[in-house]
Amino acid sequence: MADFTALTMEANHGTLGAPVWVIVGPTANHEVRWSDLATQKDIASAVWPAMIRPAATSIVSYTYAYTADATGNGFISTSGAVDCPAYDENNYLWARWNWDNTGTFASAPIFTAYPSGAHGAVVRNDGSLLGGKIADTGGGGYSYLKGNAFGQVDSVAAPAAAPAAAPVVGDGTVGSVSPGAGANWLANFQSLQGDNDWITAPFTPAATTADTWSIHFALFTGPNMVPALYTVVMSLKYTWT
Amino acid sequence: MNRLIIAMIRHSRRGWWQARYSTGEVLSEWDTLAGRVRLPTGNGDSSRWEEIPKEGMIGLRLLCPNGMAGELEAPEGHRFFQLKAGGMNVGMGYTGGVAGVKRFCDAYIIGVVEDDEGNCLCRAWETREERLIEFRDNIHNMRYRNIGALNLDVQQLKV
Repeated sequence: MADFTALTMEANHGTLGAPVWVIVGPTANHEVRWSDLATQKDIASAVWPAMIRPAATSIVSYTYAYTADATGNGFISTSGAVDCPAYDENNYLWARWNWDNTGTFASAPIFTAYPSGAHGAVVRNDGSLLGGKIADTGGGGYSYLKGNAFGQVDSVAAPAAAPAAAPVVGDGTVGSVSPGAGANWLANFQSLQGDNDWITAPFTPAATTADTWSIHFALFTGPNMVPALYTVVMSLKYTWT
Repeated sequence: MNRLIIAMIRHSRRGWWQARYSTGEVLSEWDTLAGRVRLPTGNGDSSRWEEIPKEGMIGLRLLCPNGMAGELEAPEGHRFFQLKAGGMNVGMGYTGGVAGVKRFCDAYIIGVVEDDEGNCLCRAWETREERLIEFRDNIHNMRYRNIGALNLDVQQLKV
């Protein structure tokens, strides 16, 4: 089957001007972590600090790219030379899907998130990280995890500007949304909620052609989120021949 | 079919397509593999559906690891398609990123377009459920697993 030999998510732990892309999945021990602390560089997962549920909704400010259990830097942290900067949508070279030239997409790829690798259904308004809670995330219960995506592959032109609007906790649209085809982001971030809310690329990438697709994501929390150890997955769903 | 081939398909735990032509020729997916071993074993090295002849194709089967097969038929005319639906996961907050972080294939799908509107009849081997299913859909907006519109050039469909 014409699947890809290499298909990864990469995070930029360099800078906006000089990106340094590191693989955060699907390789074992590579992952994305969040914290409300700026100093969580090279911290073993067993001692990763818990977060206190806030009294009001807020963004989880610090996003980390881990490449081993105790090896990781903040996104846009000059490869760890500085503490993880607080989330800013203006850091538009944030993350990307990267595939090699061995596969052929049979339809446009999809960016979403699931509670686990089992890809179980997400129940809106259940208070979980992806299910959301109406009182915090609005709508019928949007995800606390928001995503954005660029309207073209980076071989045409990588993003040269940030999404027009910062993510907010109430962002979301039921079902699929797509950025307009071309050099632009979604106008607003989308709820990433399994098969309920997701982002569909406005293109089918060229066959047997290596490329990347720029994405952006941000995590919120709030007083109505159910406390738990969340181990969700972000997924690129795609078809191949 | 050769018992050894059947055993290999069963052991591979995946679906394999097999095309029939008006000339009587049968082309199996494992015949098109890029690697040296052209047998239905494991996942198989990459093959390219887009490069196999569509002219004269009048039947498409999905051979399943449970011993079942789903077959679709149509007059000649570039009406058949096949694809796999799956993806990849990136872990968030795993204990070291080990559990559940992987590539996956949820379904092996074959289909035949039935009219000019793009309505189609499909069969799929679902890997988690380990079952062969049949469903109707539309190639311009596949509802199955939220696939969306199929790329017609990749499938070389003429509708």
